[in-house]
Amino acid sequence: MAKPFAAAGQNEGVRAREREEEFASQAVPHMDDLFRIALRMTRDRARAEDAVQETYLQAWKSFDKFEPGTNCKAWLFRILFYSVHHQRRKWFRFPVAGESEEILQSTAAPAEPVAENLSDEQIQSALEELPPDYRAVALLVDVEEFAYREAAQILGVPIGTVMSRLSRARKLLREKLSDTARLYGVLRDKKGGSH
Amino acid sequence: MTGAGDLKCADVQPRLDLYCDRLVDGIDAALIETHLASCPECSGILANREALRDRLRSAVRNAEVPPDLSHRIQFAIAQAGTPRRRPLTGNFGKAMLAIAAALTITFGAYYFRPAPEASPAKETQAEFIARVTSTMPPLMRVGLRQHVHCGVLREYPAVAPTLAQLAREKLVSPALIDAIETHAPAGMHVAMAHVCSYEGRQYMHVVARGDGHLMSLLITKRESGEEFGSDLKAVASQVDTDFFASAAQSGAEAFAVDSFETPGYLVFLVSDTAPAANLKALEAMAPQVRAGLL
Repeated sequence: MAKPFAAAGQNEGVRAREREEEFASQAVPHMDDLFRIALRMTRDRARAEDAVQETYLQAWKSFDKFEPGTNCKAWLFRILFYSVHHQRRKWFRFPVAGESEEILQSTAAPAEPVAENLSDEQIQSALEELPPDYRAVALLVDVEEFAYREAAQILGVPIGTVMSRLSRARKLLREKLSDTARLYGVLRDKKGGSH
Repeated sequence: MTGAGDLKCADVQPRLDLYCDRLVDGIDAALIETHLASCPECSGILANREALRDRLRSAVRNAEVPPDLSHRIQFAIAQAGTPRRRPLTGNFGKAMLAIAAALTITFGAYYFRPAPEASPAKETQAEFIARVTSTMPPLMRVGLRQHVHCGVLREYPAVAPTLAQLAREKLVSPALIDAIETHAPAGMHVAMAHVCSYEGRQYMHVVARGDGHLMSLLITKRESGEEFGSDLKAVASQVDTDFFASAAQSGAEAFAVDSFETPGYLVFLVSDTAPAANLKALEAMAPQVRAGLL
């Protein structure tokens, strides 16, 4: 006589093993990418570690909801940005300075910094001076090479918002790097040369 | 340069980022390509922006990842258990359990100072925290356990962030960072300021280190019925503020915990300095902390 419940139990055990192996193969390899983006978002190694750990714990707990065949990296980044955003929520009623939109209103075309003459530290520093929402899209699109649509899903914003933030982020970054480059005499002039 | 092809530089340059992202297609892309082929200024800007993007990518990816991050996360996952409380099975589960067992020993050996009457190498973090807080009045444990969990059992970066960097984070009021930086015992400086959570409570946590000591300023929201005066007698007072003190000794671990409350928050100063020095520091920083909590 067939034992349907025993068979169901065996199937569940097999499925559990498959999910664990799937998690190990699909989620774990993205840990370094998640940490580096978390580090640039939080600007603090300890908090970046906390955010990545929280991301993996949440991912592990809800891995049954992950649809096999979809983009696991994008799913993890969505959890990461939720975690980072949650860390930033100001549940303490402290007066904190708002992000000034004024810095985003500059319309003058910035000079072009010469990329190869800039150090990692100079680029990281300029990146970290961007407002978090702009930094997030620059990291997702220009560093992690997500499509605009994927970045919009990760951040939970419309695709048009991603496009406008990215445009402003790149412009701000060039401005900040131009300021840095000016100090070191590595600015590209309008004729295409550097001096 | 103007007039190259059918577009001018002023038409092309604002669209170079989209072109770079391959989001310009059809006839527009063809017109831009025609312009670029004959305009060294615009083609130079495009090449430089592509190079800048490559440099941005490499600058972010060159950041060093903590070598034990993977192990620590797998340890945390193993401690969390499997979803739906299923037993760990399969290669990944077995690997995590093995790592968890190894790391329990590693954590003990690495973080815990030896206690003469105990075997700390065999303790988990939770057991260690339970042991060192066991003699403390219940409300004082709220501050001590978070100091141990987040302040003591943590690796700090080799180079501490500057106060300006911490203030830029906007997570912790600069007034609080300044309070502990100014009033911590001589030789101690702020090493970390963030918002963290433990066992369902959120804390604003500022850590100062130096001279072989560790000090945490911890602030958490008061929950219903929490009042230091119901369990403890005040040891000092300022205008509208009573201070409460407690100390814990467990093996080699000694902690001083001093505290006060505001209408909305519990404030703790926890350290391994002398109890009198800890209380003196909290009294000194209290006005600044209260002002920051208004």
